[in-house]
Amino acid sequence: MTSLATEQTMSQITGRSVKLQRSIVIGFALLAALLVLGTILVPGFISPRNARSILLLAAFLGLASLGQTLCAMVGALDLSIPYVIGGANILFPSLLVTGMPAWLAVIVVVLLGAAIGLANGFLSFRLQGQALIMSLGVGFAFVGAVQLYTSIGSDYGGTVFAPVPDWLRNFAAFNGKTFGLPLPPVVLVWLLVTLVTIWALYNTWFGRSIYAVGGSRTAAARLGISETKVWTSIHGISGAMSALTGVLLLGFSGGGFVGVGDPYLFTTVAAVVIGGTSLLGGAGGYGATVLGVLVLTVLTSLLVGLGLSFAAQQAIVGLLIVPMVAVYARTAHIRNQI
Amino acid sequence: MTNDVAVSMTAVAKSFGETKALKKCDFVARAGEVHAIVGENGSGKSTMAKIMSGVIAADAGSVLILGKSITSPVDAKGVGLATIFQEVLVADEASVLDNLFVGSEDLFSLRKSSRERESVAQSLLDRLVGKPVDLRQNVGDLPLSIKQWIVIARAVLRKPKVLILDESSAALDLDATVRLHEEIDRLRSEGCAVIIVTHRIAELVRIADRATILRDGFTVGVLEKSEITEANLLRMMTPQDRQISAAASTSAAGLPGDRKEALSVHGARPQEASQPFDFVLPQGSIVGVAGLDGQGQDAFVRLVARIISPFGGEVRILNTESTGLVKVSTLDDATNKGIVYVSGDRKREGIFPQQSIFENLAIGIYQKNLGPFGVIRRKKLKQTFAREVERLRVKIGHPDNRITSLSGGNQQKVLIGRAFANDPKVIVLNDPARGVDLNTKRDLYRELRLFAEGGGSVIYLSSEIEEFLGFADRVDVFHKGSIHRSLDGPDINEETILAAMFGRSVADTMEFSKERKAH
Repeated sequence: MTSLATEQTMSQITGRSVKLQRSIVIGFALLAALLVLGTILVPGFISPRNARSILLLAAFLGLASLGQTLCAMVGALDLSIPYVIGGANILFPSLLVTGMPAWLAVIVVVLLGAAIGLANGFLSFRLQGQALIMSLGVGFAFVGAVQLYTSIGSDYGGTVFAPVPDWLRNFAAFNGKTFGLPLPPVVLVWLLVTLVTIWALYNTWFGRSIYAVGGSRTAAARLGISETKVWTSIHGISGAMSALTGVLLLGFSGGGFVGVGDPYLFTTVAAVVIGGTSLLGGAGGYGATVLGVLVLTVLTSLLVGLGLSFAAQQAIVGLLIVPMVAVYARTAHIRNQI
Repeated sequence: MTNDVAVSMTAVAKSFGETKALKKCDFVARAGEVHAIVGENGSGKSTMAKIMSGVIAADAGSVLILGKSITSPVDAKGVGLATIFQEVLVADEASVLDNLFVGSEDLFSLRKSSRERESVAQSLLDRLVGKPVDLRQNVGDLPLSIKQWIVIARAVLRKPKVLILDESSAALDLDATVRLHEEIDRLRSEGCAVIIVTHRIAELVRIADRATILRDGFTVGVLEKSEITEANLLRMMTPQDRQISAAASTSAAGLPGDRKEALSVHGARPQEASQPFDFVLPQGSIVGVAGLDGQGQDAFVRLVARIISPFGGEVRILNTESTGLVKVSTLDDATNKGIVYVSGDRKREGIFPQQSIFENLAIGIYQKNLGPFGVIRRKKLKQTFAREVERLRVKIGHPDNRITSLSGGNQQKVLIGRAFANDPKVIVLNDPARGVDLNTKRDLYRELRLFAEGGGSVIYLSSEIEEFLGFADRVDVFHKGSIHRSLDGPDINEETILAAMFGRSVADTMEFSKERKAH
């Protein structure tokens, strides 16, 4: 009897989804360490003002990283995200210029983003050996085509100026207010999206299918889960979320600029990895990515507070990713797969 | 005599995770003998072969090859040990000659001129294959059987002092087996210790000088030449309790003719070369599917489950009112109409390794518990999980533990639970007992029998003839892409099934058995 009991406890210790819990613990520890460092090194780091700016920037990154997380969960990477963000960021104001009502323009841009994502997903699924270059190519083609459109009648289509509607400005700008509270509504939207996503990944057939396809394609296929559908739809979600991020960023910056999405190539992938979702698929989740987003944003804020130039920030974040990934990647599962 | 000992293993133990493959095994093989290691699947015989050849290390006990202890396959080669594994490991892009001598000499000590070694290789390979082989051609263009001979010849050319054959003759036909045995005789007379790992009893009765029998990870005995008989081997290989129950169920087996058809396949053509044929699964029966490798039986069971439909075949299943048969078109359709598929290839097409035990079972039944927007109703799932774990006697710690924390047998039970949880009408199993322990097999047979008694129907593919004995109501034997013979009643025995697997007819069976005994 005792041996059976020990066997059971042993398996409980060794077998439970240790990896995810471990990465969440590490994530929280990192976050706490960064906050402590910031408090010591940067005057006014822990202040409502700084918290608000961190949350706002985190919200943009968080929304953009949702699609990247889903893609990583099936072992894909969506490299078109920065281009869809940039494209949406100039397409939206140029639609406003044509006199299209803002609400309709939002819908058009987000649907277009979804369509681009679906196309990207479908093509990269069919050409899986070339999935990475495929998503880059689709992103390039989209952002190029949008610039062709916005440059009609002008010399350069990379920047577009249009009167940004007040509600959008309030929605995503630093001094935006939600029901009188000094917090831009986009942060609450992100919170809502987070809750819905986490719930849906666990409680819907679609959510479970994503984990199944990521865990074992063949086993999923035997259960009648269509890998094509799952793969294509999550790329579609990723495209829609990128386009939405691009629209919201217009409210933040006030003017359309095609390069606004550029940092998101690195940061969306980094947020996913820091959160602990394996890029090989099958495990992880959006909650983990939210943690990764916060770590990354607090880190950037700390570096800004220390007065570092953008170039220096880039160099440091780039270097820090190495030890961070090393800590996570050293789990047995990934070692076995490589 | 002690200086003649080629291999000695004492009190060897080995575990894989929670599975104890070897508990306490002793083994001694002498130079110049053919020594068989016999046991059922899961008895630990392959593990023993792997430890001997240095592929894996034992957890406890001592292993000496020609007086030395070895820790890697390279060590093993150094002391003069060669292993022929089940898998056919050849480099398709290289010539036959290169494949024969790969790794056999190092660059600085070419002992023989290339012409000399070529002629040695040529005569050996011709002798083994039974016809001349061009050593210059690419291995990739050759059929599987010749590839297998290349692997065997590669080992023989090294002039090993110890040669291990791990189920090597599984895919060889009868003539080929004879030639292999001649080669083994030759090696024995040269003083080589030949160790054969097999569960094919008839084969080793003919050629083994001694046999060590494993059961559930223990050495249960060593037989000398005069004692090696089928009866003795079977008695020692099989645990007591199953000997009785197997006998009992054999007498109870048999199919009344008036059963309803649970499923039928019309014009099945699993392989391009298949003659289209029909298949009927009577309700409440267990139909075994057998065949040598690549005779279409594997494609056939996948066809029934609608996973593939390569060259045609219409599957029909009894409708819900049990009044008539309805067509089953796709995999989804098959699932909805009550056909489930369980694979023995757990790693590849069964488990989700990063998910919990609970999730691995529940993923199969979510679709039946969906509300609006695909939202899963979780209330009933826990009950179903508990019911299946209880029914199949799955040994689990916590349901949230990873599936990979379980032994192979218990993982398979979870997958079978996934199948049962769908309340299927027909279960299609593709070699489910591959690599699982005896207890799991027994639980599996019992549950499938209960399922059949409750009106369910079972298609059971196995690569081991022994599995059908006392279990299947009918065995359909595949040869060249279609059902060659349908056996039932007393015809379900090792000799008849084996003869049918080699494409022999009814009248031929006796002759076939004589041939085998004669060799």
